[in-house]
Amino acid sequence: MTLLQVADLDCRYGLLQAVRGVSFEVGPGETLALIGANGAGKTTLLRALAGAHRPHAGRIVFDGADVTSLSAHRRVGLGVALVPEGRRLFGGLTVEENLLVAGRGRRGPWSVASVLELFPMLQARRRMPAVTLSGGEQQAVAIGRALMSNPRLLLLDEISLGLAPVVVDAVYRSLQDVIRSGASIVLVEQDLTRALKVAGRVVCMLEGRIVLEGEAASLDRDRVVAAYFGLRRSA
Amino acid sequence: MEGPDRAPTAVLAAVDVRKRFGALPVLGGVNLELRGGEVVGVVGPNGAGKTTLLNLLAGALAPDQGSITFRGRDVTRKNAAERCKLGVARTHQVPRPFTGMTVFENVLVAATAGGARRGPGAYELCLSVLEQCGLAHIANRRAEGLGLLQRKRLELARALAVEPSVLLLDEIGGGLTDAESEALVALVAGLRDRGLAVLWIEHIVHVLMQVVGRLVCMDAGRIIAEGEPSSVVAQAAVIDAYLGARG
Repeated sequence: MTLLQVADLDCRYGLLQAVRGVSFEVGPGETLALIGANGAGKTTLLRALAGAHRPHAGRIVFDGADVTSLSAHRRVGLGVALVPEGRRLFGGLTVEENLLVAGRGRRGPWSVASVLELFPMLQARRRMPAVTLSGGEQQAVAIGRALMSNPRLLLLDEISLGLAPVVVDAVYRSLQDVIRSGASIVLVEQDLTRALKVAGRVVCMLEGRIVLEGEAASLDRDRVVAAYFGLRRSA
Repeated sequence: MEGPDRAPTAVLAAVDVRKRFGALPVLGGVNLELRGGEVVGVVGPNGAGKTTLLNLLAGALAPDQGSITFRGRDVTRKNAAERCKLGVARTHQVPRPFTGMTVFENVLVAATAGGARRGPGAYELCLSVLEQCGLAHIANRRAEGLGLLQRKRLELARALAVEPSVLLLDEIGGGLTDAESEALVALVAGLRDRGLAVLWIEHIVHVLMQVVGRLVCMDAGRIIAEGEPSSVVAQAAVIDAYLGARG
C-alpha cells in the first residue's frame, strides 16, 4: 500500500536538469528524509511533489490518482501540503490569520486551537503580525499553516535552516506529534543525525539522482557519507 | 617542461584575508597558497565563503583585512582586470557570456583584451582553446543560444584564452554526464601538467577527488581542513560541516 508513488521523474530548472529519473514510494504514516549536498535536487523534487514545479517527464501518483499535471492548490485539496524553504508567511497577517488562510480545505484534526497546542511557543503570539516573530516561531507558523489543510502528505523543506539548535529541537518535538497523527512526511534535512532520528527511511540524492536509499535503522554514517560525496567505496 | 617537484613558492596566495558583507562576517582569516602545477580543490557547505575567497583572489572583491600576493608581489589593490593581465583568470558560477557575440568572438575578446594576443596568433589560440573545451563545432553560434553546459564550457574557454598561469574555477562541473566530467577532469589535469596553478570550487566532491592534489574544506568563513583529498573527506570536522554533528 503506497500513498505516494514517484516514477522516473525529470525536472529542469531553467537550463539545468535538477532531477534525473527519480523513483521512490512513500507509504501511509511513513516519514522519509531526503538528504544530499547543495544542488542535489532535493528542493526541486519537493516542489514537484507539491505541484509548485512542473516536471519535464515522469509520473507522480498520489493515493492511486495521477496528479502529475494537477495544480498545487488542487493537490492541497487532495491532501498534499508543502512547507517551503524560507517559510514564506504573510508578514502583515497575524499568526492566527496566517493559519486561517490555509484552513479552508479538507476536514481533519487540525484547527487553530490544535496547532497552537502543538506549538506552545505560538500561544502568546497569536495576535501578533508574522513579521514580528522569531525565526523559530515563523517556522512553527509555516508548519501550522500547512497542517491547517489537514494533509495526508506533509512536505518539509529544511525546517531547521537558520534556527538555533534549541529551537530546532522544539520544532522537531512538535513534529513527532504530527507523525503520530498518521500523516506521511517527506522532509529535506541537512543534519543527518536528526534525519535518521525522525525518519523511517532515508533517500540520499547526488546530482539529481538517488544514490542511496534505505531504512534509517540500517544506514551507518560511513555509507551515507560515501553516497553523499559520491565516493566509490573500497569495501 | 617543469619537473615533478616544481615551483616551491606560491604563484598566488591569500594571507589572512577577512571579509564582511555588512554585519555578516563571510571570511574570518583565511590563508591559502597556490603553486604552479597543482590543482587545489575547495569544498564546503553553502555559505562557507568559497566563492568570496575566489572573488578576493581574482580581484573582484577587496578584502577588509589581509593581502593577496602574486609571485610574491602584493596585488591586493589591483582590480580583476589588472590581475587578469598578470595571468589570473577565473570562471563564474553563473556564466556571463557576452550576448550578441558568437562563441568565437567571446573567446577572442578574452584572448586580446584579457590576454596579450594580437593578430593571427590570437585567432590560432582561440581555435585551439575552443577545441580543448569542446566548443569548436559551435564557434559561430551566438552565446545567448547556448545551454547551461555549453555556457560553462565557454566560461572555461574564455579563462583559458587569457593564457593564465593561475586558473580559478567556480563550479564548472555541475550537471555533467560521466563522460563529460571525465573529459573535464582530463582537461584540468592537462593544464596542471603544463604548470598552471588551478583552484577549483566544486560541490561534486567525487569529481574533484580525481584530479586535485590538495583539498581544502571551508565552513563558516574558515578553512577547517586541508590536505590529501581522501584524508580530508574522512575527517570528522568535514563530515560534521556537511551532515551535522554525530548524534
